[in-house]
Amino acid sequence: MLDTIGKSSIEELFSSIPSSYRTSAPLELPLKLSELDIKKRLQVFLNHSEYTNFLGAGACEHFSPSWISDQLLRSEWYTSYTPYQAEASQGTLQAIFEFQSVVSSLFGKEVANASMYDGATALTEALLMAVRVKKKSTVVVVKSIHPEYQETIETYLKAAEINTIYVNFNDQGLFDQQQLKEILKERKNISAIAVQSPNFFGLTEDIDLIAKKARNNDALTIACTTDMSSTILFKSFGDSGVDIAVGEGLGFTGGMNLGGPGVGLFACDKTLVRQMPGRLVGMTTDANNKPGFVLTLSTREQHIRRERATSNICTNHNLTALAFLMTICAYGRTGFSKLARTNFKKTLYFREELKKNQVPVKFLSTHYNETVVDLKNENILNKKLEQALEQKIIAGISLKKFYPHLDGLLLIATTELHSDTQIKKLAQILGDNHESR
Amino acid sequence: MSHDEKLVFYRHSENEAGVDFSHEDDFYHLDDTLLEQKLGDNLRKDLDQVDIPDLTEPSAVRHFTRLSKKNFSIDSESYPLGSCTMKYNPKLHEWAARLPGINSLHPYMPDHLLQEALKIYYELQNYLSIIGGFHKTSLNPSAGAQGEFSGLLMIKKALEDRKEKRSKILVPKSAHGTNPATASFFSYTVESIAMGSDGRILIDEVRRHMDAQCVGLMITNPNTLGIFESEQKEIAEIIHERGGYIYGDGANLNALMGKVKPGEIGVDVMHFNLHKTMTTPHGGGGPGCGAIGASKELAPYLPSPQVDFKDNKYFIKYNNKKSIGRIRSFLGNFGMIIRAWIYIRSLGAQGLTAASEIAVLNTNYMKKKLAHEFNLPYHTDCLHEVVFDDRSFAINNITALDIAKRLIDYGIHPPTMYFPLIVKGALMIEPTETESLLDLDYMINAFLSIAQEIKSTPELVKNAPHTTSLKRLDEAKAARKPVLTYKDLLKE
Repeated sequence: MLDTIGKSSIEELFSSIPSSYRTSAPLELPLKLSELDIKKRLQVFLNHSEYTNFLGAGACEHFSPSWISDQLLRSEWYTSYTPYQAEASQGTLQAIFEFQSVVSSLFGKEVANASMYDGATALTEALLMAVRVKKKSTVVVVKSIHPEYQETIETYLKAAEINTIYVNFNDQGLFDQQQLKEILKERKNISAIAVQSPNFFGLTEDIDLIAKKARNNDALTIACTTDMSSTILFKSFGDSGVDIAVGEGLGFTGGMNLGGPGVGLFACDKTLVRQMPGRLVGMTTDANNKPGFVLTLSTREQHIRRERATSNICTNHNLTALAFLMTICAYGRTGFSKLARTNFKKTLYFREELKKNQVPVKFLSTHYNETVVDLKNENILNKKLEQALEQKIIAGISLKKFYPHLDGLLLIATTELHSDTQIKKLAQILGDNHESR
Repeated sequence: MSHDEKLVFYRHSENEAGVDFSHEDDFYHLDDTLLEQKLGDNLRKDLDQVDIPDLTEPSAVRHFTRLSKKNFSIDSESYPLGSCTMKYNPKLHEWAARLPGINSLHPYMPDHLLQEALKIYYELQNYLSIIGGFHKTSLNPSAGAQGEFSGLLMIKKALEDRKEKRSKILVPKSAHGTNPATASFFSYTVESIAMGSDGRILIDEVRRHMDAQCVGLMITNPNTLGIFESEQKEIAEIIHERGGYIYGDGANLNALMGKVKPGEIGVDVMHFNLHKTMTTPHGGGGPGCGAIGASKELAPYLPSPQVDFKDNKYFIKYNNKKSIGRIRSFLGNFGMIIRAWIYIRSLGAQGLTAASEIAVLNTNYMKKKLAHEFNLPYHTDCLHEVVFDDRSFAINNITALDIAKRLIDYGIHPPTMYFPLIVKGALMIEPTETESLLDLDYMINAFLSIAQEIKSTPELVKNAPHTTSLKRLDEAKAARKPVLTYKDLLKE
């Protein structure tokens, strides 16, 4: 090959790099490992965690049928590129079209994009989009949104010099209506109000009310969910008057993987589609008039529009979007609805068990997946966490980690994956009075 | 064989759900009537509007398997897509990423249950710092574009700490679209820097544009023509002298591993594309990981959280004081991080360097063999990718698009077309180190026979592809009247 090229050595191929630019020594990396070595090193991951996990907090695991992981191992899915060449990528394109159809219908909106990175960035992009649409410099964000989403919003919106006003949650764990009213009375420059429902504590918020207030103030309503199964149980975001609906699909991608990759879901109506970030697939026909799929409305995107693009997003989360589509199709509409109902009932069941064990529940309105248990203080809470760990149970997470002013409140997720026995056991541990034993 | 596979919704058969949940529970005394009572108006009532088909497992599997067969992929086709570094994705990585002990890791588990995963995370942070010549690396960004956002925000904060606010940024004309798109997020005026006839940034242009109002320069090296910016150090000096910073777009790092450390030639902050250089699979458009490395000066500004090591324990470090903050939920795409870690451990220092060497060798071999028939807009030596154009076929009325589509008939994924924008009718080829000599020769012969076809039977090329189940698709129609969902289709 070198002869063909007309060079005498590999080194000569790099002669366009000035010698003073070259690294002086080989990379200081550890010695290479064989496949066998690596498999040995990774043996620790061979088995599913031996702990029963009641952690949710924006990352609730759900059941994944076996065929999903098998299907995703098809190299046609994972070793292909973004489907810019439509004729060589009809598989991915059609799957994205199906994904857009499923996601938009779950949200009750007209159109969904081909995915964002995760729920946090989807919500952030929704706020940025609202500012593009309404051209007003302030947005309102409810503090019962996942705290890490709030932090993401803060990073991006500060960078974009957009003003963010926060609405607190009240002692029922729901957004403070009075405070929102006051903000809207004082401020006239609001582009959007963002809310999560079920919120971080698992409570459903009054989105209809927020949407009404937003409309009266010429602002868009943005609603978010961190667990997409809620969308098939509760009145749809679209029906509640939400303009931009976003969500996280992590629980339905076949693994938690330390929280990533999940998939960001993003939907709105067609009137706003030209301000939407991210890729879209549309149906069209070929030269023989046969139906097919292409990437479309790309003039919103960075590779065409450059500095005037709606977002800088290029690579998105396509494979996890496919995993989401497949998982939801595996359940079917009937099965997905049943999964959501099962989750709702599990939470009710858990609360019954807590009552039996005299464990107070903090927030009492409609719950989904999450329950907040009041353990009085961090001391007791940490003891309970330890007690549970001894029995190979991860009981949940303290809300203090996210809201320093809260004390002794444990956030616990129950889903279709938890058996009644496991739920009972957790309730007993939480109820067990340490001192009297 | 390729089927006309209808949309999955046509497979719907009411109540034929393929999944059921545990039958062992006794909580069913909480029946649906109670649930509906409790939810009242909050219950979703328009389930018929939810477009999810009820499917049996065989029906679902057949659908998706058939769809998959309509894709070109690295495992079955050569994929010389310039700037995308479509190298082979080893199966060991896929095995590892799917291990139950990784799939079941929740980001909020107690640290002592996460030690093994955090160790890998920590090590990859360090490996990337070593490869890029940086002080510290963050694995938070989900993709290159998010790395760009983070990097420019770090620079903005560093300037703010110096009580400075600057209003413009320099971006070479050949840059990826994400560069100006990211810059405009910060409302910076993007000043395009022209390239010289050798395909390199004109240093005088940098000198002319760089002033106290300018944040700095976004640079891709080797640039999108595959040409090494051999005056980068001098360019960096100009930028740094006037208080600016260099952002490195690491999309083309596959040319340089073990050869050049960007951090040593003036780059202050750079994103790595793990889904390119470190061969985490591209997945038909992600997920990726756009890890960013930073110089000692900018490292404190890296996004949070990071993984650190102290007292023999790995831990997640939130709220770093000077950090730009959080840019997404949780820690990043660990599924990609584990794969990249394996890649680097499998190849080691020598292997990574060899990967870059073979990638450059393969490209130059193709360049030499194709240069007789395909026009080279720039004759400067190239590294891991080469850009041709369609100029010599203008008399036959054949464009880069036609050539790209005809390659599909030869079972080759088309190169990147019409990019970089500075080359009219560009065909950007990056074979990577993956291609064997046999596959390279096959690709070369395909290009050369297309060049012959253009002269002898141009219609064959003009109307390509011929072997796919669909002919060329009407993109204009798709945009004119967008059909974006199944519901849209039903309304047609």
